[in-house]
Amino acid sequence: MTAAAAPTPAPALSVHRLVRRYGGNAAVDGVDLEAESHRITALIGPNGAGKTTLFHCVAGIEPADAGRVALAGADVSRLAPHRRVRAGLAWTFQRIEVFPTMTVADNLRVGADRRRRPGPALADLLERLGLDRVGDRQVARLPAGTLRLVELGRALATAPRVLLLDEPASGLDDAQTGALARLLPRLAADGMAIVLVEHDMKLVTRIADRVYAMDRGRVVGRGTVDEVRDDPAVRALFPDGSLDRPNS
Amino acid sequence: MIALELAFAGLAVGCVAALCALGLIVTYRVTGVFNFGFGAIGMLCAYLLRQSVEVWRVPVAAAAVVVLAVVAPGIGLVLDRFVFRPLRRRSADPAENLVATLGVFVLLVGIVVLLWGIQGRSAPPSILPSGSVRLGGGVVVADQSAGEVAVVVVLAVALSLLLRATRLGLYARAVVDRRDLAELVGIRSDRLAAASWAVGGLLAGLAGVLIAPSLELDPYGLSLVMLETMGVAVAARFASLTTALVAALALGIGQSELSLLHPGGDAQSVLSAAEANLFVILLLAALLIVPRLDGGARADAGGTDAGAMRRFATRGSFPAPAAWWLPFPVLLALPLALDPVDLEAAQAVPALAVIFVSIVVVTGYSGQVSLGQAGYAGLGALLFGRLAAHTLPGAPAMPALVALPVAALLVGVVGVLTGWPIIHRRGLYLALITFAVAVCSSRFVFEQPLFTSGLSIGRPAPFISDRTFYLLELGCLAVALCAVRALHGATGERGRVGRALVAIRDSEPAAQAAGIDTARLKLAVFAAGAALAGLGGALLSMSTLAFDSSSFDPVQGLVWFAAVVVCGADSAAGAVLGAGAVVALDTAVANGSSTVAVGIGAILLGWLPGGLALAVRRVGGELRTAAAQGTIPEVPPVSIEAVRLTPLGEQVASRVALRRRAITRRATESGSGEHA
Repeated sequence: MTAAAAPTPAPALSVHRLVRRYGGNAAVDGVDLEAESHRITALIGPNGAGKTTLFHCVAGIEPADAGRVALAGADVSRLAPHRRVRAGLAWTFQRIEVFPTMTVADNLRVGADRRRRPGPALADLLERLGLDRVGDRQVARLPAGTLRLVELGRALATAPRVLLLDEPASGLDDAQTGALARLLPRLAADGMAIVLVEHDMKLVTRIADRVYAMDRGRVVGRGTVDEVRDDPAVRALFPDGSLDRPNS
Repeated sequence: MIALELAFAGLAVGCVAALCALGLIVTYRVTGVFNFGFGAIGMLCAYLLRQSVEVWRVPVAAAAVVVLAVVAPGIGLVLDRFVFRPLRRRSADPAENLVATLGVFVLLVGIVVLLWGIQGRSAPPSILPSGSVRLGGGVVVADQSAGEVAVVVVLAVALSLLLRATRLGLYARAVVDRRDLAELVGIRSDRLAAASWAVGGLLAGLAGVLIAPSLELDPYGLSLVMLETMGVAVAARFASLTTALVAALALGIGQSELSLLHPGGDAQSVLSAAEANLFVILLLAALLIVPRLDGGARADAGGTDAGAMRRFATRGSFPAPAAWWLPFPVLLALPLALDPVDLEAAQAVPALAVIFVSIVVVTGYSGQVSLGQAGYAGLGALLFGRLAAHTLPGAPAMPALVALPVAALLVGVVGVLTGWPIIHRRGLYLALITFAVAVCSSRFVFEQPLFTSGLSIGRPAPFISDRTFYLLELGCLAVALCAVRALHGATGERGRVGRALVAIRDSEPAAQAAGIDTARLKLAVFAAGAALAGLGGALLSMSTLAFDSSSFDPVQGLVWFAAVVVCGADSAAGAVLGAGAVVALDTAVANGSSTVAVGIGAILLGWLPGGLALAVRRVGGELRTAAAQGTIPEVPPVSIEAVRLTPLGEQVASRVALRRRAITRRATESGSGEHA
């Protein structure tokens, strides 16, 4: 509620001091994060850094032990996941979750069924994701890469203002990854705030406007791609050099 | 002194419960399968023992050895080899295993009903000596109790040692955690599983043989008494043998000691109901309190099998032809032309069909495994009877025709109240708890004179005669089917609500991510299912003009559930056909034959998860494809000459051969007979 007093408009998504504990361990330990409209924000870090847990808490799938989640300044911390969807949040899962007995089009239709904002037409969405050819196919028989796109399509069908993508490129082939790398900036250009967790550093460095690096439940570095590349604390997380500039 | 003697008497009951729990836990810990069939295995063994001793005149000791050392473990081995090993080999999900064990249960109950009838029989002889021991202080203990305690303690210690201290136990734990990895290091998981099924069978048989002498033999009653002891295994979270043993013995003693209290009046009837059903109370309480069933060891058991029922989905694979439903009204109207006796039997069909459709809605569409529909059906019958007779306290007088929908609505309200605390549970957990609710309704409502004495069921005014009443039933079925059809939308493409339900069944996290209020929708469907079941139950009682608590027995509910899944869990048409088939088989062949058929079907579901509905859709789809290509698929010839047949088999075979010859002749005459 205090954020509303600020002169600049509130960011599309703001996470304030979020904590999530499992027993004695804090998987997410006081994380602050902001994601703005028209921007792609990437969340990087080693396995076990707490990225997926953070996503789950933001989506409301897991309860946060402390902290606050706000969409455009409105506190949604106490809302159930489906209410957060109505408030403009959408997400995809690291482990693919689709409706296998339905067709691709019906998978997207479920997302569109409950939206209260104007959203993309189903046919446009299918075409945009390159799914128009498999629209009437049953999902259970499609390859994993296509399922990622089906999930993304379902999320987009809810007409979100903030989109959380958990490793959207895993399981995609090079062509599909390329298509994703072209699609996400276009969605951001339309005004969406996109937050993605991704291990494909090439994709991150290519499309991210802002990067948060996490380690052991805390944010250890933030800034533009170039800024975090030069941050020794962040570089230490990527000893394989995957964060280095391609020409260096 | 009496208290002490009672304690020993209670120990005997506790021992049987402990045996059941040990068997359940051993099988579950090694194979990950919750064996619903154990109650029926015990019941079958008790029947076999009685048959051997009292009909075949075999000495008790010899009969006991054969039944307990050969038959009981043998059943376990056969089940493992032919039912659960194939399921294990293709990593079937928990819902498939659950339905298969239900199939085992239903099949064994059906066999017993077929062979020995549904009515009760005298109890088998006890396998333990019948004398008594005099302890110090004048306490007299029956040899039987002492023997049972000894048997159980020895078995429990042996099993504990086996699972904890030996290499076998270590292997078992490894197999439960990761079967594939365990096999990589050379553990023979199939042998372990077979051994655990044999032990489970033996313990179930032993429990059945031990408990039967104190009860009347009756296929539903005895298997239900054994199922009621599941609460002990639940309280032990399917993990700790010690907890199970202590809980079972304590409960047995507690049950026995309760008989010392004599509060008198209404409190007395409540107390005696509680005393007789202490294990049911424990089952419900344990399920409500225990947060997870698996002691944290198995991820797939209690919690994360959301959407497992989607394995039984039939829709989506093959499109249905236009006007496929046309034969149904004709078939359903046929009984109107039957003579009065057959029409009377046929009256059960639409009533049962409404109950089956309620299972389709709850389980087939939204994926919630509800084994408790018999309870809601019985409640519907009871409430209708009371409302129509103006004997429900606080309810205004109303005509019977109004009482019918009001009763269904009230059952819907009960559905909301009972569904509310359990709506976040799923899979095995939901299955057990809905079953427990049905058992509670049966024990504490349907069997209590307080609620059922003086209850007369009549038919509403213009629908008194059999023929007109059948029309009323058809009307109710039509309403139920229209409600279901509305879920799919008018064009055959699922409507918004139908799509959301299937989304929940397929993946609950994804449904939430799509903005669906999963908890509220599941509860709504659960309540709607309860109301439909209530409507069906009221019709069922009206068809016989009586409230019969055995029609709404929880075991009956298990048979109904299995029947629906066999016919195609999410197929309303399959449910209607299934109801017709169940009634027709029981009327035309023999009581229990439908139960056997359902049991076999449920076991075979491992090979055809979509059930009969999917089979029909598939055959129909392939025929249409073939017709489109202008060829008729060749049916492989069946050779029955190689098999030696019984006289009945010979008769059937000759008829089949005749018909085949006729078909072949017709095919030759029409000029396409190259394959003749």
